[in-house]
Amino acid sequence: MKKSTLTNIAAVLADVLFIGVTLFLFKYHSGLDTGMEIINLNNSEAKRIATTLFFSKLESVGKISLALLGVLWAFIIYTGNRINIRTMSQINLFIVTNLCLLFSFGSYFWGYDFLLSRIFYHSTIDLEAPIVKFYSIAQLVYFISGIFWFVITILLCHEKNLLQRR
Amino acid sequence: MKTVRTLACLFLFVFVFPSVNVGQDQAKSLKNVESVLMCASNKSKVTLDDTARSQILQQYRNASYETKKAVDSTTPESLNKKLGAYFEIKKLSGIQANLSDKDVADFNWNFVHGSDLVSVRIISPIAARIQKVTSKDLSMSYNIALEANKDMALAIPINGESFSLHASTAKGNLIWTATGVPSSKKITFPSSLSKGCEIYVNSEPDKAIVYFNDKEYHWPTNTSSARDPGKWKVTIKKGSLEWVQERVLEKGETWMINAKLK
Repeated sequence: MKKSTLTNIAAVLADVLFIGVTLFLFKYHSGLDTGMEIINLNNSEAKRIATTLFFSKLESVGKISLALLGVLWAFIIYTGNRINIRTMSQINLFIVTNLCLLFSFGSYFWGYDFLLSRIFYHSTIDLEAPIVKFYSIAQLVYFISGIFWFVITILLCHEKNLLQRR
Repeated sequence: MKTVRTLACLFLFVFVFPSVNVGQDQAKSLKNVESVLMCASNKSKVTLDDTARSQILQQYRNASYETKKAVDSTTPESLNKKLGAYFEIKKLSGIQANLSDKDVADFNWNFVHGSDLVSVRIISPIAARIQKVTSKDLSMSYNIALEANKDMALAIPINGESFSLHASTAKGNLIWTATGVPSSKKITFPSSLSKGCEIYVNSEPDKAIVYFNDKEYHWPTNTSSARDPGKWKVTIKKGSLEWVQERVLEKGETWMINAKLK
């Protein structure tokens, strides 16, 4: 199969999957209850550790998303490499990868702020709350999609046909 | 002319002079009450031993519930009135008192302890002042300081009905309002004293599904929930049993629900 055909198929697939996932998450979020149970964090060391670990996980995934976004743009800005984005399908793939990583970072950003405000104003965090799970899952879904389309973009936009058997 | 002068003198003696005397008496007694109230509000520094205090409280406690209720419902400054009475009794006993905030709380605790009202312990995460408690029939004003994280015994007129409780900072800004029926005799202020609001949902029977604005909550009763201020409709369902109520919650407000499912 030709590289251009593969790129076209990948671009359409990326569009469909990205729009589908985003619409599903948007609809799911609009029907979601944002309440949290009031759990006193002052009296439980285990809960405090769990909360810290949860925040660390969110933070590391958020940082990696941002780093990947930087790497992707470095390929475009630095002309001394062999990554060339020229055709519409390649641009499409590049945009979807960017959006996935940005949405992953966005989920981290909004989720982090939301959780911090709950801790600040209510001294509570309920890791079982649907809204907390939503932010965490949305961040992971976009992050994994971002990595996947990142790899595909690099493979299909390289000057050499990396998919061809030698 | 002479007759007119005589009639005028008679009029003055019969109607005007007596009323002036009565007015002066009233003013005098009002002044007494006023000084007592001022004394109560200024919390003058005099000591009162435990036996004397318990005697005074016992006298006050012996008053009928209706009397206490009448005193409390007549004026928003009910606490001052009660303290006024407290000082009057104390004066009669020849004892002088030192009324600290704790004494006021003790006084209230004892006052309600012997009546049909409910006494609760209140705990606040920050230093605050209890301002006012209102329920179906009663409205009581307080001005009692709560230390941070230290519970204080306080008698409040809940009487098994719904009530509302207002608390302010030491500077007088309203920071918290709680409404509903507390499930236990211990009321804990939420930590959110500025932005969000909190809803505590208890039901009988428990383990019922809770809906906030028709969206299912992830924990069954008895539970609590941190929320944004606004209009909240709470539905509690267990099988065919249902309970629904709606309320607008302001910043820092707490709604305590104690639902009996029908």
